[in-house]
Parts: sequence; C-alpha cells; structure tokens
Amino acid sequence: MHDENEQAVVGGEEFIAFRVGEQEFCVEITSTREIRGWSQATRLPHSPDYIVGVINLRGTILPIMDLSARLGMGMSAPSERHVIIVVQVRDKTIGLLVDSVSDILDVGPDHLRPVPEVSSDMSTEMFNRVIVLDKRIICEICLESIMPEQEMQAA
Amino acid sequence: MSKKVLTVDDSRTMREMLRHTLSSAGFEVVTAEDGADGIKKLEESQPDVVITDINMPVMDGFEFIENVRKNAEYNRVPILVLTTESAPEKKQRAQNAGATGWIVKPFDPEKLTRAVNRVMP
Amino acid sequence: MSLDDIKETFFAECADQMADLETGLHEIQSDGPDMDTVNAVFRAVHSIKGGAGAFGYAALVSFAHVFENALDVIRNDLSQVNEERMDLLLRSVDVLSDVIEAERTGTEPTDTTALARELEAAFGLTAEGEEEEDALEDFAPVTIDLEAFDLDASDAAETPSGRTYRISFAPHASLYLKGHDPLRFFRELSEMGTLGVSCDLDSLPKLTELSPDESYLKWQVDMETERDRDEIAAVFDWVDGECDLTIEEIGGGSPDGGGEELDDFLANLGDDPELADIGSEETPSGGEAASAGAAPVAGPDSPPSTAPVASGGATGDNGKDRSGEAVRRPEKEKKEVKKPSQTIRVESEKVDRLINLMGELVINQAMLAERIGQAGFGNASPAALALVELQNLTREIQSGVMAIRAQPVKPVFMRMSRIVREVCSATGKKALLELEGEHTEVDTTVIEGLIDPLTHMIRNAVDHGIEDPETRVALGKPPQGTVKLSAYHSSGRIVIEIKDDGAGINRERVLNKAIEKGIVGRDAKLTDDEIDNLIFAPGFSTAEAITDVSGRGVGMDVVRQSIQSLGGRVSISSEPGKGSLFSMSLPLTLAVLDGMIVKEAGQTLVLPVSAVLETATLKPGDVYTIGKNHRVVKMRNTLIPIIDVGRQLGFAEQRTDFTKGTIMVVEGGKSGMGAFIVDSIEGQQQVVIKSLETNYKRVPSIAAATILGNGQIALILDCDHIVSHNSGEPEAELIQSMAG
Repeated sequence: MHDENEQAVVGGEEFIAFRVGEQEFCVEITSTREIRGWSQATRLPHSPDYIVGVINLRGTILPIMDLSARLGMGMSAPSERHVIIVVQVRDKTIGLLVDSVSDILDVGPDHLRPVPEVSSDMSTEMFNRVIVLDKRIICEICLESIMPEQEMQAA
Repeated sequence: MSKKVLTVDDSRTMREMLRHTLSSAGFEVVTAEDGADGIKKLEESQPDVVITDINMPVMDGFEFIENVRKNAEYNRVPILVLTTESAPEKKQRAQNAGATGWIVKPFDPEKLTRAVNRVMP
Repeated sequence: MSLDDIKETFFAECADQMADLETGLHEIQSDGPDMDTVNAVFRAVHSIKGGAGAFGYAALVSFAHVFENALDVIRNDLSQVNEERMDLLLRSVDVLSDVIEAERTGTEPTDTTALARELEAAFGLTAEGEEEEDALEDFAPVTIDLEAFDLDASDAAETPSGRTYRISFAPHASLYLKGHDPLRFFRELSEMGTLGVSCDLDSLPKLTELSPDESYLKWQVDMETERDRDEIAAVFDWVDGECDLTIEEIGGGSPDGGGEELDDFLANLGDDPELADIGSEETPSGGEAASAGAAPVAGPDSPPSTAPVASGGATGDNGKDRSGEAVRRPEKEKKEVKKPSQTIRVESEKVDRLINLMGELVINQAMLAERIGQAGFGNASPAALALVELQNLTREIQSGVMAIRAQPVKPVFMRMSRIVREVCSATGKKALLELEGEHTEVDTTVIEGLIDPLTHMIRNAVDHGIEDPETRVALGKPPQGTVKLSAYHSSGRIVIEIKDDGAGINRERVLNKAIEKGIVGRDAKLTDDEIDNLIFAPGFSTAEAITDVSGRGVGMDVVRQSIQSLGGRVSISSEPGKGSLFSMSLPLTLAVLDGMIVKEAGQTLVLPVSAVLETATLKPGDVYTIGKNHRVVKMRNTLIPIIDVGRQLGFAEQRTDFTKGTIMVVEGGKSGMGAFIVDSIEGQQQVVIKSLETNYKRVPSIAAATILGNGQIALILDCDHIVSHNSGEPEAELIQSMAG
C-alpha cells in the first residue's frame, strides 16, 4: 500500500493484470507466486485441450493451463513471447499461459463491480468481479472455478 | 550453575519423562540407557545426583550402583533408585548395593524433584 | 518436549517393546527358554507398565501387571514353561497390543478380566491376591516413600501442634558409602520445625588412630515441630539399618500413637487425678530415655511417651515380607547384545523434503553431465573429472538419504504371527510362523504398502495351504504346519518369501476353474508354473467354501495388484503335497524407480523396468489381426495383444507397420500381458518419481512423472491401466478365440 499515492485507498486490493488475446484480465496478487517465461511443456494424454502440458518448476510438476482456451477464446500457440503466471489455488500450484503481463493495480472498492450478466458463451462463473477504470474493464479471474475438475480420488 | 542429574533408564519414555520433569525443576539432565552407558555418562558428565532404574539390559541397576560405589571417585554421589519394584527385599538389595534412596514408579513430578533435592549435595 | 511428545514416544516405544516381546516369546517357544530371552520379555512388559503408570493408563497398567507377574513366574523358574502357558502368553500379547491401541486412540479398552483370570490361574498367581492389591497401590500416583513431606492441609489440621522431639542419630560407616550426608537430614528436619543440634565427639579417637573410613560422630537433635513422629522418621527411611536412631517425644502436645485411645480411656475414667496426669507436661520424672546410642542430655525431663523406634521402622512400605522371591542377577549377556544406537526423532516431512532435494540433485547432475558433454570437454578434462567426483558423492548422498527412511520389515513380520494365530483359531488348524531376515530394511512407504498383501498371503497360506492336523498326521506330517516368512536383499531389491509346508496348489482344480471362468482356453497347454500362477488371475478364488477367513471376493489378483502398484512382482511355485512358495520382489524405495526410457510419437516416456519382461522386434508375419482392429503377437507360448502406445495416449495415429519400432512385453497386472510397441528404446536409468497429483490430478495411463537430465519432464506409464484399457473386447475372450 502506498499511502503517498493520491489514488490509493486504504483497504484497496492489489491485482496483477495480463492480456489474453485482445482482452485484459487479472488475478489477486496474493494468489500469485511468480511470473516466468514460456518453456516447452510435456503433453499429458487424456487431458482437456486447455491443459497445455506440464513443465518442471524447480523440481515440481507444474501443469500449464492455456487461459485463452479455458475461457473459450480459442487455443493459444505458445511462443517465446508468452508468459506463465504461477498461481496457487488452495493446495495446488498451476501455471496460467497468458500473452503478456500488463499492469499491477491497486484498486479501491469504488472500482470493483460485480460481474454483469452477459450471454452464457463465456462462462461468467469464471469471474469474480470486474475492475472498472477510466478506459479499461478488467475481469478478475476466479481461480477456484477455472481449476480442472477433480476426479474422485480412488482410495 | 545448575545442578546436574544423570538418569539411567532403558525406557525412552521414562528418560523423556525424567528429562521433562527435572529440567522443568531447573536441573541439567544427562540420560543413559542402561547401566553400562550410565557408567560412561557418569564419568563424562560428573553429575551431582544419579537416578537409576533397576530392570535394564546389559547392566542392571544393582550392578550399576555397585560399580559406581566401587569407584573411589564417585562413591559418594547420591544414587536414587526409581523402580516399580516395591518388594522390601528389592529395596534392601538396592540399599545393600549402595543406593541412597528409592522412588516408586510412577513418580509424581513434585515428589521426584523433592527427592532429588533431598539428596543433592 | 511436551508431554504429548512424550506420550508419542511412549507409544512408539510400546511398539518396539511389543515386537521384542513377541520375538522373545517365539524364541522361547521354538528354542526353549533361556534366561536372557526371558529377561528381555519381562523387561518389555515391565517397561510398558512403567510408562503406562506414568501417564495413568489404568487399564494398560493392570493388564500389563498380571502379564508381568506371569512372566515373573518363568523368570524365577525356567522349567515353568510349557506349551499351554506359552499359547496363553502369546494370546496375551495380542490383547496387550489391543489395550495399548485403545489407550493410544483413547477408545474403550477391551475387557481383559477374563484373560487376566486365565493368566492368574495358569501361572498360579491367584494366591497373590494381596500382592496384587499392594502392587496396584504402588500405582496410585503417590510415592509412598515420600508421603512424609506432604503437608496436606487436612493432615495439618489434625496434627496437634507444638511438640518437642529428641532425635539421636549415630550414622554407621556404611551410611556415608551410600552417598548420604548427615547435614542433609538436618537440613530436611529444619524445614519441619526448629532445631537445636549438638554433635557428640566422645567417640572421636586420636588423630593417629583415626581411620578415614570409620564413623565416629553422633548427633542429638532437639526439634520443635508440628509434625508427628512418623513424619520425622520418614526423613531417615533411606538409612534404615545404616545408623542408630531414636526419636522420642520429650514434651509438647498430646502424645501421639495410640494417644487417642488413651484420651478416650482417660475421659472414661472420669476424674482420677493420678491417671489424669499421665502424659501431662508437669509430671516430674527422673526417667531417662533408654535409647540406644543416645547420650542423655540436659533438658526438660519427661518420660518418653513412646518407645524408641528402630530406625526406619516407619517407612512407607509396611514391611510386608515377600520372602521366597529369589532375586536373581541377570547373567552376563552371552548372546551378542545389539546395543541400541543413539536415535533422534525427525518429522517425516523433513525427510521427504530431503528426498525431494536429493531428486533435484540427481536431475541437476544429469543436466550438468549433458552440458559438459555438449561443451566438448574430453573425458580426462578437469571438468569431466570433477563431474565424476560429483556423481560419486551424489550416489552416496542418495543412499544415505534413502537409509534414513529405511526401516526393518520386522514390525510388519511380527504382525503376521498374530494373523497366523487368528486363522488357526478360526479354522482349527495348527501352524507356526517362522521368521527369517526380519531385520532387512526397506523404505517406510514400501513397508506401509506391504502390510495388506502380506496379510492376505499369510492368511491364504494357512487357510488354503496348511492342511488340518488330522490330514497332516495321516500324510505323515507333523500336525503343526509351518509358514516361513523371510526377507532378503537381492540386486537392489527386497525379496519377501512366504513358504508353507502345506498341500501345495491343486493344479487340476485350478486349471479346471480357470477354463470354467474363461481365463484360459479349453485345450491350452500350460506348464505347471503357469497353472500355479493362474491363481493370480482376476476373479480367481479357489476356496471351495467361503470361509470366514479368506473373505469373499478378495483374491490373489488383488494381492498381485497391490504389489505391482508398489513396483513389485509376485510369483508362486508349488509342489503338490509339499507346500507352496510365494515370492515377492519389491523396489527398496518408492522415491526412485528403475526406468526404461523410450521414445514414442516424439515424446519421451518411461516404463518401470520391473514391468518389462522382454523386448523384441517383429518380423512381418509375427502379427495377427483379430476382429476389426486387434493385433496380437505370438510370444511366450501365448497370444499377446499389441498395444500401440502412441495411439493409446492420443499422441499419434494407429501404426500400420509393426516391424518398425520395438516391442516390449509388459506385465499389466490384472489384465495379463501386453506387447507395447514404441519407436525406440533409449536406455535404462534411475528416475526420481514425481507425482502429477500434487498440482494436477490423476491422469489415466500415467502413473507419475519424472524430470530428465535436460530438465524436461517425462511421463511414467501406468502399464496396468494401459493393458486393461486396450480398447476392444476383453482379453479373455480374445485368448480363448485363438486357443481353439
């Protein structure tokens, strides 16, 4: 929190904003572990199309999710320019494949709105809230709901 | 300079209990797991008081006490016997071997502390 | 260490003691009793009792106490051992372990009364009822010997105040030899009242005649206190017999010790002045203390209200003599005593972290090796030599870290003897479990995974293997069967064998059943070994009647599966009439795996080497097509379905040319074998197993992942799953249709 910043509001929240295609999205900074460049992933069989594969993150197996595909905006073609945002959701850590990181935002409650009802082709339940700034509208990704379905764990 | 107590017991649980009780009472605690180990630790750590179990492998408590008493350097160190054995002849034997006193298991922490203080030089 | 930690220590130690106890009893049962073993088992129960007392586990204390007394009978006379008593003791082990478990989990302990009575009856302990009481009294959380220092308010209230005692104290030389110091007694007495101490130097000889080992000093203590005489005597209870001691009351309140009766007596007498004066302070009297070794001193003279006490006469234990209990000194250990080494307790998470890091190290080193190779350093270059050093160190660290988690299989083996006993009592059979190599060590995780399959196989060995006693006698065998459970290391794996001397496999019955169930074709030619191993086929169970032992539906196929999930294999060989031998081979750890590295459809994949039976390349004509799209290859006397790995995983289209590429015959658990075809085999190496589930979830066909030397992730195949999901009709039908 930077109190010297006129815009900053006590009780404001911080977000990392990034681009996927033409749009901007964000996640809470508290869920973010690190941001890293793209590296070749190993494919996983029998996995949904939005799971690009797994990469080696200092010895742990990190699944990479193509956020564009997950949000129904088409598959990305990962390249050197792409970025992986490593986030933690409950006890799991996953990497989100995005085009680029655009901003780090400090947002007061005035700028946070509920998700408007839009048509159902883009599942609105994948968003928590919407950040409305001067000329930008940034959807906050609900990490809980984009996680791959957990199958019943066999004992 | 806190006083040092050496406890000799083959039961890990008992050793931990004793360590717990005695260190709470402000003593420095050294543990040994049988009589032979006890003799070694006695020489290494020069305790002020020794507490020993009777039933132990390798060297039992009676033998341990006799060995300590044979050694001119340590024969005056107070040795308390901590045992579940309450038979008078066992006590008599411990005493004959050279025990200073005995405490019956399970011990009450406060009483154990008092017993140690009672024989503390 | 908190008390909870100590409790944890106690239960961990109980487990060790139970193992020692059981081992010892088995030794006594098989080799006859020897003093060392008997002492060891006695000590085990004794320690459990001691710890249980410390935590106030009453149920555990009381049963352990009876158990200990029973063992004490044997300890005092080895000839007291007989078969019936040994059986009883072994049964008591099971119950004791149940009671421990109940105390640990805080559940209602099983009722041990009946068994305790049995023990008492069998070992003639009932006569010691009072000793029982006495012993239990010992377990009241009160230290009798030190009661004297309790200044309970209630006591104090009843204690008449303001008495004066005269204590004469003449230490013998022996008192000093037991670590006592007279000063300490005075110090202690001074906490109970006010003292006047005088030292009697009369016996002190001339310096020239003084012997340093003699005791010449006597003391007299006049003490004003509110305590009664017993409490004062208690100060000296540890020097009973080491000194001459008298304690007399020389004034103060009403006499104690029968004083009440006297008061009553006086009260009843009414106003008899003569008598009424007895014991009062004003009574002049020239009476001297007739006490041994106490010199009379000037002081308020009054008749001693009590006779001199024998020193220590007031000790806490009321002098109940249990003579006849021979106190034996344990003989010097003849057997090689394995001295327990120092141990530390470490949270397993810390060890897991270390194992992970070690995995990293292995991977990084592989990367470094690759880079050094790429950079074109020669084998003799300093860089390459340094790498070799590093590799050696890594290997040592690896085995060191693995050793931390390695545990002997003994606890699991010990559990099995209970299983044998249970099955015996359920079936009326007689069997003895022999253990061998129970100190063989293997990773904890493997041990955990071992319990269920082992339990099942042991059950099976007794239930289906060992014949009932009559049958055995008719066959000229001893009525009691033997099940031998052994473990040993062999080429970096652990091998566990279960050998019974029972009936062996009834091959005719097994084969008929397998045919009946469509597991093999009607005219299949199988070797004896192949028939024996049919019992592992899914859904196969030979139990004619479902007994309450083997349970319904759990067959050897489940056993095989659980062993395979540990990266192990199991096989059986049997000789009709002589018995069977089940043999399992398991990896020593689940953290690393011997991997077969293959390339397929541009991906690097890993198969557990343990699952690969053989590799081959195919010629045209080796491949048969069945039905629409099933290809099989004839190998190993049977038809094996070809599994196109790339297609199965969805990485590539169906192959058309099976002569390119390599075939690996893979054991696929329940579903039998599969002939995996891949583009090429790259080699074998140890890989570190990484879970996909940590951050993702289970992926069908994939068991886990690993990280290769180049930093890339390679997937480890789940062979069982791939074989059983080889799309198409069930394998059984397939084989059958071919066998005709």
